[in-house]
Amino acid sequence: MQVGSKAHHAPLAPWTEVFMAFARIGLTSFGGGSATVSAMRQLCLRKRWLTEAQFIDQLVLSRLTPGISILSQVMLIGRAVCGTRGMVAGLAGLMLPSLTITIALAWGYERISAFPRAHVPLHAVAGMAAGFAVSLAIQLFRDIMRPVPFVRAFLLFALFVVLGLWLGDPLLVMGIAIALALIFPDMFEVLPPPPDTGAPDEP
Amino acid sequence: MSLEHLFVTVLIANMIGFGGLSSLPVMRGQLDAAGLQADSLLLHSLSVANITPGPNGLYLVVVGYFVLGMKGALVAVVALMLPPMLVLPLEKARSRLVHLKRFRAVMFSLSLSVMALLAISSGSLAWHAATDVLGVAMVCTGTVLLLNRAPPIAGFILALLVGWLVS
Repeated sequence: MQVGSKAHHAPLAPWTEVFMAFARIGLTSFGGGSATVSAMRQLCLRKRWLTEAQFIDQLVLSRLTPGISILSQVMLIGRAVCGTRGMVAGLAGLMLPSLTITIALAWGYERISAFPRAHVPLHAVAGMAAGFAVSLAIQLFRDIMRPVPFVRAFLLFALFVVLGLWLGDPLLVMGIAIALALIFPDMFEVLPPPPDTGAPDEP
Repeated sequence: MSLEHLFVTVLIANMIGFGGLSSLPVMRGQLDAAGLQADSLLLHSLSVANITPGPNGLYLVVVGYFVLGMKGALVAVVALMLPPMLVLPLEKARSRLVHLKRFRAVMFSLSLSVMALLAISSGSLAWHAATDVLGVAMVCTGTVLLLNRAPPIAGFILALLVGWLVS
């Protein structure tokens, strides 16, 4: 061991840096989507990969994309840093630690649930998980309702609740939601178009 | 449930949901239709997913694991990774799409319907979990804790401790 010698580190390839950075987030971002988005924002600003405006722009776009929006955003960030390699490295970095921990915990949960003495504690944990689901539904309700005229949005929301309870098929309810929006777009036009509009609205 | 069926189920739930637990209603409907105990399966999957790092949507991987073991988990991972790739064509089409009145209307209408369905699903999960005083207390505690931004792992540990003391 050389005492006092200066350590020389070869600079990491950009995609390796993307992988390492997202792997750290994948390992430590407990608390669901908001915790992960917050960690990604700090990362992008600290490393100067994106400006705040670019980050928000990507956030909005990823929210419009089907599936887990964080994965869409990781792809966009990785690609902005170093193209396709960055995109793959970002996804792999975020998902590998999270998935490993998730599958390991699922394995452990399954084993523990076989013990009779674990039934009451796991029943309590299931109750807590149901409470978290209720809480996330309330948070989503607040987020969607905040920027829109409340009464009209609430009436439409109530209509979909009734349809959901009556029909019992989520896919059918969502199909009706899409059809209603296509036939009566004005009924769902509660927000103004984005300010940087260049293209006219369709007639 | 076969691997192919699981793949299609997770893909559909994920394709129509927009992050977080918004895939929950469709997943619940699909599991019910497959003859599985949807509420119980989802509650246990959410219990695990709440204490893992990463997106909330990873509960779908746990569902896959509980239904078909490691193969089920891996199939669920593949089904999870596909829809977000649509961000690439969407990025190209965005400037045209966001200015279309019908596109904005469909997005908002879908958000409202997902929110309504999520309210029904989470209500059903709470009903399924609240079978006794302990269950009711935990559902209420979990709701209040997360609304006040407490870390989910704290709720998990609290539930384990209370359950252990009660048993």
